[in-house]
Amino acid sequence: MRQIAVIARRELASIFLSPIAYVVLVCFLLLNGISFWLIVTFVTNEPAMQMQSSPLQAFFGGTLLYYLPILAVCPLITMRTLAEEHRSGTIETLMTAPVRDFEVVLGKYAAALIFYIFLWLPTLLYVVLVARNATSLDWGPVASAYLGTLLIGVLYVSIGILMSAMSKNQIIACILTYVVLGGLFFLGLGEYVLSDEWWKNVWSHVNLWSHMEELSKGIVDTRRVVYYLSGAVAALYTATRVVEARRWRA
Amino acid sequence: MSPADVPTPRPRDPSRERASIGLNSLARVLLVLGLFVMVNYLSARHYVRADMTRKSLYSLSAKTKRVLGGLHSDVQVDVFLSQGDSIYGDVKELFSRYRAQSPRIKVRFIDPDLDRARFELMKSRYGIREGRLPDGRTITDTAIVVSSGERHWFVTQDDMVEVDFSGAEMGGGPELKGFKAEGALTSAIVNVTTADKPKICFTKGHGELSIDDFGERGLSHLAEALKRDNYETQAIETYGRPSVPSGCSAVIVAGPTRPFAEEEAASLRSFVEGGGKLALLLDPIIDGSRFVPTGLEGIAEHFGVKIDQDIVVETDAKRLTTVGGLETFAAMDWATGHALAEPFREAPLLVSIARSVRKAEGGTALVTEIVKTSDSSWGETDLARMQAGDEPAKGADDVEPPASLAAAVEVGESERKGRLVVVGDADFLARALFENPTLVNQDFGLGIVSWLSQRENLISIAPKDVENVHMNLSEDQLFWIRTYSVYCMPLAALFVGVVVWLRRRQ
Repeated sequence: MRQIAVIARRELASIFLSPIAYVVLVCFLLLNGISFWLIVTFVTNEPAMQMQSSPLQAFFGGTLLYYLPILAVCPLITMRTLAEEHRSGTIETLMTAPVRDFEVVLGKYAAALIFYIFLWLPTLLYVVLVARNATSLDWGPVASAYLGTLLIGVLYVSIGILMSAMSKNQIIACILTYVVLGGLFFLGLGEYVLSDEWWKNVWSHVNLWSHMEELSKGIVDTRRVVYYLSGAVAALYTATRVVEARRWRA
Repeated sequence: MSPADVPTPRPRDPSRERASIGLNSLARVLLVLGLFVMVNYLSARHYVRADMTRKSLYSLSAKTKRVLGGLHSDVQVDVFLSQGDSIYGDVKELFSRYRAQSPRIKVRFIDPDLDRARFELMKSRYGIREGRLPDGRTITDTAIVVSSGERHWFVTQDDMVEVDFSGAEMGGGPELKGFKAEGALTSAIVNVTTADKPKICFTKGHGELSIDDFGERGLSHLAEALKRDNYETQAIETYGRPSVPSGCSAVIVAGPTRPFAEEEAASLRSFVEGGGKLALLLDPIIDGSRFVPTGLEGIAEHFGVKIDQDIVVETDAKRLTTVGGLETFAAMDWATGHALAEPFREAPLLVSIARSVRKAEGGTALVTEIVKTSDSSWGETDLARMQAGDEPAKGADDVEPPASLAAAVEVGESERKGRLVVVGDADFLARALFENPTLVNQDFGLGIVSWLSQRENLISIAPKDVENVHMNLSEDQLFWIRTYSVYCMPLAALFVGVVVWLRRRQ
């Protein structure tokens, strides 16, 4: 556990000292800010829309503008983690240190996930703005919407770590993560297109959009929690095996 | 043994060893992926949904849970809503709750636009009619068909939503006021899984509220709700008949304004003694400045319920309405542990000009006082004093608070027990109160029939109000929200980034 914390701290320091982190943060906040402002303006000008959803419900998963930053940011956060160590050769040093493979993977994963959470922290200001200006705000759905956002991060960051472990180049890692995350996102949308009940159920199980639709309303379904957590465990386990493979292949 | 005889270890083959480790790793990864699929498969079959909303907007009512828990056969639900429909998401979410509660519920969503072949099949099977909206979407006269075995039940969109048209006069469009799909769907499930169809008989000939009357004093809305709950309704004459017509599962006397004859009362009494079910909903009958007995007080007393000659007056301002006097108020203190009262807890039942109904002293029957008024109320027996408009005050002869407004009695020891419900008011069934979603008048009215018919699980479910968060922002407020969210926050992040970059350069 101590080793994981040490690696995570080292990784976090390198993230926060790199300019790319701030570029990501600025773009992320800009996109989310525009999304939030558009929703608030729309809800104010179209009172009938208030019947369907509150501004925060629309913000958390009601529009494509919520998913785009997540899909764009997760690969950028994770692409460097293990791929860069391979490219620069520092992985050898890391591997000869008294740390186990899973500690390396979990340390890097924890750092990336903390940065993902850090990206979302400023959006709490949106909640404050709505709470101050709306007639009433139900805090339950707000909490479940953030839980959903966290669960997505838990899975997507772990997939990014796996792709980074599999690549020797951070650009390749980034592209691979985009492909997998984009694939998952679009496959999920199959729920809305397919008519066959069995396939519909399969795609609805991975459909990020419908998951967030529920979570932003205040519904926490164990199927979603199990999917995101078990997916993350599977991805991180596989990533550990990939790192281990590099050791014995060398 | 000479050293030559010692077996030498075989030289290690690094490529074989790597392949072996590789295969081992691959097997472990595949095992974990298999576990991932299995865990998700199981979680998809057995799941739980937690509702975090303040008003439990996404929780099933106790009634629905009871109905679903008691299912012994599969129930097939076919939903004919297109994905663009405004209630599609809500209906889908609702069925997730039903499926989480019972694996007996099988749901198929058949989009009339996307899944044309299957829709045509269902259309001819159930005789569904369709039309086209201006945007090209298909609309059907039936939104959902619930079926089990040979029985099926139709649910329309109107059964599932409450729309408020009050804004239309001001140029506004219709607004979604409440979502009542759970009541409609649970009733449909009960309808298709329950074989019998009890007949509820309403007496007539004494100025009672009539099930054929669509006006203010009518009960057509109650009859309609009962039909939806798989009951038959019939108006019956009691005058000149020695007994209640056979086939009546329950008899309801709703607000007579003229007294019953002794023979009629006797026939109702023997009906209950013979295991029949009877509801007496009795407003006070007033003639000038005196109370007139309805002729049914004796039956109630015989079974242990005393109906007072009074008008209940409430002085607790929290329970009074803005339009009625002290005689129109909400009763909220429900008995615990009785099936007729249990679903309501502290929910308001609005009554108007009611009389008190209480357990008679020394009675031996199993009587439960169902709902009571507050401690700031009493049963006013001095009608002349009330009519004179004197300051309300409890007199020595008045009925002590809290006044009970309804009582339920189980009669007899045999398996076929008679049941009697006495309510000191019939106006609570008036259309305006019956259809008001903030009151439990409808639930209580239908609950009485369910309890009498021994179908407690058919107690109606009140619609869920739609939670609205209103944001009416001025141009100034919008400007500041844009400034904070679009400019200030990204610029602050940029500033921190530049500072870090500059410090690193130094």
